[in-house]
Amino acid sequence: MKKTMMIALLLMVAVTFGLYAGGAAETAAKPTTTLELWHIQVNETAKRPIENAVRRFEAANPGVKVNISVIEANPYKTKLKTVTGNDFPDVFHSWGGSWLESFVDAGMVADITEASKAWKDQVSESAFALNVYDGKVYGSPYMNSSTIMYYNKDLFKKYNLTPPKTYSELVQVAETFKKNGIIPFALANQAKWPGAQHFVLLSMRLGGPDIFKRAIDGEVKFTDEVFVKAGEMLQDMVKKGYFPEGVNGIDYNTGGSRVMFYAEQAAMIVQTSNMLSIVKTENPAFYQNKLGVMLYPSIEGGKGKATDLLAGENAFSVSAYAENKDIAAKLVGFLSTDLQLMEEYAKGGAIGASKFAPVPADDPLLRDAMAQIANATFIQNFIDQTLAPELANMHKDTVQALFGGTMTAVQAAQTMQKTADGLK
Amino acid sequence: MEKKRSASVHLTALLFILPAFLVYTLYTASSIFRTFQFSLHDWSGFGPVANSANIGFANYVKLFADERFLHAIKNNFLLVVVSIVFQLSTGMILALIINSKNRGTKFFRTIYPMPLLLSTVATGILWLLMFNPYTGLFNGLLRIISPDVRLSWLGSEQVVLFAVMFVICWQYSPQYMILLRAGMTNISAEVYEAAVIDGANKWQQFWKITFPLLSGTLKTSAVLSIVGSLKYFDLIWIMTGGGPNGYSELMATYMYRKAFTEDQMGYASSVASSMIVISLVVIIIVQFMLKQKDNQ
Repeated sequence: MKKTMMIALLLMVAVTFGLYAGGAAETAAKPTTTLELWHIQVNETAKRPIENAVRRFEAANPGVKVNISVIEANPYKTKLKTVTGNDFPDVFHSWGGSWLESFVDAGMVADITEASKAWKDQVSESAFALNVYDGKVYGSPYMNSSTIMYYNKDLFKKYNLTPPKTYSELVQVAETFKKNGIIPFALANQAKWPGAQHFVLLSMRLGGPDIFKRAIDGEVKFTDEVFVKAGEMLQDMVKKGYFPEGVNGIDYNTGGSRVMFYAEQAAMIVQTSNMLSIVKTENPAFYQNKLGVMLYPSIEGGKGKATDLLAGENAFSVSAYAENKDIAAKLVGFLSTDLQLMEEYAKGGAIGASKFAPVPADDPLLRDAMAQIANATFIQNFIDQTLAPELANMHKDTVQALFGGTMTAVQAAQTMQKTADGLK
Repeated sequence: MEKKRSASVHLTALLFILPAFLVYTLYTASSIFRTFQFSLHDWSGFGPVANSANIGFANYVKLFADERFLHAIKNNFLLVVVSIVFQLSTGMILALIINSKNRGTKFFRTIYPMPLLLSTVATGILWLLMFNPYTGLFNGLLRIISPDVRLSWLGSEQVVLFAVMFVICWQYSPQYMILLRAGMTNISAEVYEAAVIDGANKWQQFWKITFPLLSGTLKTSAVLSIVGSLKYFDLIWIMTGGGPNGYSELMATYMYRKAFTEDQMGYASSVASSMIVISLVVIIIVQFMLKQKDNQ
């Protein structure tokens, strides 16, 4: 009796451990090359084209199997940092800039300089450059994104206004809207980055497009008069009522700013090009009839031009742990250049990374957005992907405080400089 | 013979404990120890920790001069106090309602625990929409009184913490209702009958019978509430992300921010280790105080 009990107990222990060991023992023999691909395009308009392109790649390369995992951006960032070695995806989504650099510095990204020579001149140069560190290539873009100033064409027509080209014209437009009970800019700033774009663009228009690059390189300080002036202008706009009240409590993802824009409570909105595909699925009639795109106006006496763009990329990189790096790099190249993929993106309102991406004749909005990128005089990568992570967070926090009026422009600038000094 | 038997009983007991003990050591105790180890390194979270510099207690020195973190501790303790006061009292009132023999209590017994059953993410987004300054429910109601209200519940540094704490209390009060109700059903009906015969009214019955006999449950609830508040994370992260400008930051959200958005895994580990120490100290003090009370 006692013996059976002991055996039962031992069995229990064995089973408990057996369960834990089970996960590791599953790896079956692989007859072909299997690639794990992770990306963040949860929106159907981009997810479907990527899926189709990958299937075409598989058909063209017999023996290659690609497993796609689609993860939302924020959980994706966390997940990628916590997987290691064998679990690390062979091909993974990246935003380039300082974000990818952390992974490159840790030796987790494969150098694809050689392989990329095959396709590099077909891809948008400014976006491609965001994946190059010390002359070595660590990724290639598959989709472009830029900051666009959207406006409601109907409202502009109704009050006889034209899209402002300069800041003083913007002030006139804004005052007219205010007089008629319309908020000039919709904004949902709970997540901080939507409002930060205003500050960045104001700084670029005042101090020249490379002002942030110069600040990062230490040529100018974050306490420079350009940043102080940009902060003051921003707070002036807030004070004049150019933004909704309480913007810091409005959430972008659940549509806080778009709802006001659709309802014609607000006339303009500064957002990434990603909003094009969102509006296209969310409110097709508005997209067709009322939505317009323009450039963020220049500032009289400022060193920057209206055509200096704030933009970013969606790219793919190859893992340093990938077993078959050549085929993985080939897939990255395919996704950067495949024209059918670019065409399918365009249908959904997204901008492909290829220089030869077909310009959709029936979609003037997307055409204009693509022209903004093609004609850009300077492209500044999104600031929160460019600054070191801690400084990027501080940048977003201080701009949010500027909107909330709890920090002065000088205090915000000093806080930024203090954080920058702390990083050295 | 007797001795031999007791030895084998011990062995059996040991074997029963062993699996759980091993899992606990592997997944909890060793993780705490590792976290402490990580906190002594200047580690970004990329690559093996052994490759990063061991900087001793430098992270802790930085941490206790970090205004953001000190503010987070303050917020955590405020949450502890608010949680104990409001969650336990609301839980008690709700428990009394569903424990009463009035008609319709069955209905309340079904709907009161609902906040607890909703997923936290859904709860967070729901309240996020209700707090929206333009389209939200709360400002909508306030506008009945004064048509120009544009209160930014989650965007104002003064209001944000109270707005989120209100939601946290809303979510967790039913948990204490369930615990306290369970405690109430354990109190024998005879005690109340005797009290009624002695002429005690409902109010006296509550303070002289229900409340003292629930003291055990209340203590457990208080400890649960304190621990829960000290390590609180989810609703804050969903609704405000610790903002605006760090005004609703808690220790756990600060840890997450440092670890996963700022690539400072070593520093984040020192936040985590401090959380463990702070929680332990608080719990020891509370337990000690509760024991003292028992001895009196």
